[in-house]
Amino acid sequence: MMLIGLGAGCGAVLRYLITMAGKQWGQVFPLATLVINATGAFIAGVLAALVLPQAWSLLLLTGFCGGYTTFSTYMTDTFVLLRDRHWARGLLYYLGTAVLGILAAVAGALVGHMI
Amino acid sequence: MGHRLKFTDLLAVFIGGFLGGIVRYEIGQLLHDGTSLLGTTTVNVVGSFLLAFITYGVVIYMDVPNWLIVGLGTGFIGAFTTFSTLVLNLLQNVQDRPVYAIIIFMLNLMLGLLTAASGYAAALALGRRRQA
Repeated sequence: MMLIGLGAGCGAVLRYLITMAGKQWGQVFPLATLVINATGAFIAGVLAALVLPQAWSLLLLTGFCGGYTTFSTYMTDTFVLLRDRHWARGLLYYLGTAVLGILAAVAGALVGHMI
Repeated sequence: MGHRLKFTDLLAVFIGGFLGGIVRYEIGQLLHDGTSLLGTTTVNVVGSFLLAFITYGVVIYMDVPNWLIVGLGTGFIGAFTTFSTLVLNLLQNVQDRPVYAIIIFMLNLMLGLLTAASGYAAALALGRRRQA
């Protein structure tokens, strides 16, 4: 359980740092969270394909990847875009994150199987 | 709100993330997320409500220090919900039971957006009551 907490805590801190850096990239699109979720899905895909020992899986997959990626910010940001009537942008972000996340995890799994 | 990095904020995000990850795991165990996929669904739906509620409720209507907001929102709820496990659950189940895996994935997306909207609405309603 400590392993999960450690991984999730580090993941959350990294996400916070990237989000803070992303504030300088402009506010039109929640790009930081999109980048975080896509890279996190990629890493999770690699790790899942590697079939790690349980302790490593808890630390890196359940902990780090789970804490690094986030679903709540993805949903809240989508809602805010739609609330502000940025329909196209909101829809693009909503579906784009899902599609990119799936593609990234598939790509990660391919890489993982090659290692 | 300042955008500069502070040690107390980083520490709060770490502690929040630490606890959020553990609570997510425990709920996953309780609901047999490995087979049911319902643990991830539960944390994602509940977390989306909470984040919207905190972002628009707590922040706007109450005077809360920044470290508590980022610790709760970015740290705890951010790590409590997860996108990577959601995607992995889809990929790892789509071959054996495609209908269930796809329904669960879409359920997360639809309910998550709906509860985020509800969290926002609840925060607005709370704010109106406080002003009245």
